[in-house]
Amino acid sequence: MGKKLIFYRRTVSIRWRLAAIAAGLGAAALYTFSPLTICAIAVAAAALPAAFNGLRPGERRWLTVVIVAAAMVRVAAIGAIFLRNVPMHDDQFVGAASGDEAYVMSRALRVRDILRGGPAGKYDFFVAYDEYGRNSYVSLVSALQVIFGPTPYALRVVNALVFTAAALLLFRLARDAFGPVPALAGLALLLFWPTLFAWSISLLKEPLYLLGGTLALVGAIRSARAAAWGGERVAWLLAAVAGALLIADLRPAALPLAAAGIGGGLAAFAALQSRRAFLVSIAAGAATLAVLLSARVEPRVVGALTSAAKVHTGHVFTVGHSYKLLDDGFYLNPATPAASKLTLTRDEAARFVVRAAASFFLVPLPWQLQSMRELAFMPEQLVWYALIVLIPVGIAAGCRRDRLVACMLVGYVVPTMAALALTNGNVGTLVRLRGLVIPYVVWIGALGFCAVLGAAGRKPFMPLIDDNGRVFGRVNLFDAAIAASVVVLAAVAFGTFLLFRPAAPRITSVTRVPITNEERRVAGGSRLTAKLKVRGSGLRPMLRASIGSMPALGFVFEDPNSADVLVGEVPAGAHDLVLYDGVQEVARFPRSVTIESAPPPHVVGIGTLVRLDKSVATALQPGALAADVDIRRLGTPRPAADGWQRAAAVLLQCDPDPHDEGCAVGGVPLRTDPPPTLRLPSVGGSSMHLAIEELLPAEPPAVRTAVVRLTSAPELLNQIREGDRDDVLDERAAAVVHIGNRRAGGADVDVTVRLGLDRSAEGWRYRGRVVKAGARFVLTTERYVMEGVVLKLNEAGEVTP
Amino acid sequence: MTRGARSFARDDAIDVLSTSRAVTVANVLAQKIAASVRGARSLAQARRVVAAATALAPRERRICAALIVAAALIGHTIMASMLPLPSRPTVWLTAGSLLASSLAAVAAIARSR
Repeated sequence: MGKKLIFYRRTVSIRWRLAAIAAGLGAAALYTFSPLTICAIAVAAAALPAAFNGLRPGERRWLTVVIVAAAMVRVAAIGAIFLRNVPMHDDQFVGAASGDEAYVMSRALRVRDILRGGPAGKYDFFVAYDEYGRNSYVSLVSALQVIFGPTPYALRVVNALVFTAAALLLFRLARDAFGPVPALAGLALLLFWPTLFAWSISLLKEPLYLLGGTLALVGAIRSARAAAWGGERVAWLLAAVAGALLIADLRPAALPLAAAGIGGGLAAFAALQSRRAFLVSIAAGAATLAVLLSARVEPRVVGALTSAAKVHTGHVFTVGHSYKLLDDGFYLNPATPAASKLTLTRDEAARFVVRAAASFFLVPLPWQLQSMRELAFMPEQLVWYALIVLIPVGIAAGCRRDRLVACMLVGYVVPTMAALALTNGNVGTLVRLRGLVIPYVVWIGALGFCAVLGAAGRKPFMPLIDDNGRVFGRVNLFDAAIAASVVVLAAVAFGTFLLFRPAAPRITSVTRVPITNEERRVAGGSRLTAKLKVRGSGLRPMLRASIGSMPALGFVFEDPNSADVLVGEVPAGAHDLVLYDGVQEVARFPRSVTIESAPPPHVVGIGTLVRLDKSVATALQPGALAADVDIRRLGTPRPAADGWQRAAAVLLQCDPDPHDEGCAVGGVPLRTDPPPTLRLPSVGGSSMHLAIEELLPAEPPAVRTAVVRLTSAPELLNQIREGDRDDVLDERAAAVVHIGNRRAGGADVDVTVRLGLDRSAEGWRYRGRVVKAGARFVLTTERYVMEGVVLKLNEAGEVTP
Repeated sequence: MTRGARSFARDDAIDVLSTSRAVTVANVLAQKIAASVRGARSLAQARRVVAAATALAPRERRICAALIVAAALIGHTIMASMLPLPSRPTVWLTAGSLLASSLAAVAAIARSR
């Protein structure tokens, strides 16, 4: 019997030990699969029970429901992200396809590679140590990647935990201040608010920022509330300091904004302590306003608003759906905030502030939504509007229940709201950054909702609602509110979206029309190559046009259905006509603009390169100076009063001239009187000047001979030699090939010259002058100038003695 | 809870909410899920295992706990070392954090008794 018992005990003991080893190995497998997730779950298991301390059973159950539901939805969403990313999973995958998430993760993984001695290039070092984007969140993510390996999904779990922890801190604060129902309603709103939900499972810094800000705010309130100096007050103060340190480098000016928020909340609390304090604070506010509007301070205020407006325009001029806060004229010339030369007057700045304040609460209005993706934001936007309506009620109710917490929650977000409202210009960014404010005001809104619900259910002042809070004695008020928000408000919002949204610009036709002097004047000296008549609908005066990727010279609005587009220089080919609102493409007409690929005209400029350095003048060789400038012939260098000179024949490419008045180079017309001096590119990047004397066609001449009777004094005629050459630096130059006999009296001689001729409508031309029998002819050499008439032009080109 | 909040603990809105169908549906759903969790066979089995483990002699419990921690540590070290380099964590750090959290859990369980 004893042996059996011992054997049984040993067997049991061995089974338990084997089970323990198996459990340990199972835990090891799970931990190895995702160590950070296991750590996050362990931390959650240790920390979350604290949120339940002191709650009544009913509250505990509802809090459990909310937290478990929030956790399950988040786990499901992270799982869905994992499944969506399955095709992209490889060694290089950072867990996010684009944007800020990919930047954070890729930077952290580069740091990991560098620290672990993995393969890393120069660019990895550049990104890892870049000052841009450096903050404590990136450091934290980098540390996690070093310890746990690539954790693109576990990090989402950690962020969800951080977000939930912040929400529960605020829940406990709101519960203690306002009671369990508003607190639970606020928690449910916060955990399931769509934008915040997306934040909470992202790889972004927002959950950490929320936790830091919450710690700072809750720490400040709790430490102020603590009965006396002791462990609790010190602990909460330390929490507040830790929170402040946490957010210090997560966003620009995060610390001043948080400090101003806490200070503003305390000031509001102090102002509402008594009627006298309220009057004093009103007087102080008026005095502050007077100082801000005084002549000495106002320029600084307007300057600060101008800086904010520049940041705002930077948002407007980025890709995405933008909204505008300034007068229309400030959006004509897209520029980065750093390059912006925007200046505001006092009135413009005031309008900017008013529009910014309104935009923070209202943008995007239902009819401003531009795509189905934005339309998906509409339910959230409607809840936001409801929250705005409920916040004043909530503030009143909050001040009755716990004035300090109500003032702090509202005051904390005011500076952030102001900063966001004044510097934003992009709908998506505003919706996203509004999430910095919602976690704090959602409790006030929930309190307002409960106050409205309670008041409506309690008082018989509304004949439609009975004593049980039922509308028409049938539908519960809360259910009616949900139904109204889902069915009625959504329908109304969608209807207004369909009814009032501005018509999207649409192009139906693009035709080429003649350019008039008016367009040439509008072009302001720029090269205008075409004018397009655009017909369509929804056209607006502030649109910009582009031919393919080349911006047009102008978009001249006529009416919503017609406009002109002035086209500058555009490469040959078929191009799309694209219309932009700011930098957002709003309409495109494919392959509607065809630019023919005619070769650009060329001309040979005969003249003198002037004001040269001796070294340049002597080193110069025939050849291409640039794509459109080619030196064909050069004379010998010679000194002059203003430097060295050298005769030259230069092949020049003409601009397409909108006036059709001849060749222009770089916008300088060549056929002017006196002829122009052109600036040409030179070796070494400097420029040199060509004083044009004569223009010749670029095409090679037809070589012909002509018999010319030159008339002059006998002494001069004696100087004519065979081989004498006309003084022009071109192959056209007439050369004496035969000297005939002097005629009686000796005042003229017939010579045969070989010369290059250009064909024209009037016949052959030599250096621009018509060459035919009887035409005047001038021969200029270094020794003489001789005039005469053409006796005969030999079309075949042979020499005729 | 502050005095103001305490006076509102029995909130007027509760009267409305308690008769709300939406709240009733949510409440019933939560109760059903909770009942389902309570009656789940897998969880019941887990509870039985925990109860049986609790009934072990203290010395045996300590040995089992030590075995679990040791197996987890050794198992994790071996498995993590077998991962390809780009996916591999810094094993001594993850093993250290596993050891620390295991010891913290053991201490918490011991303290809760």
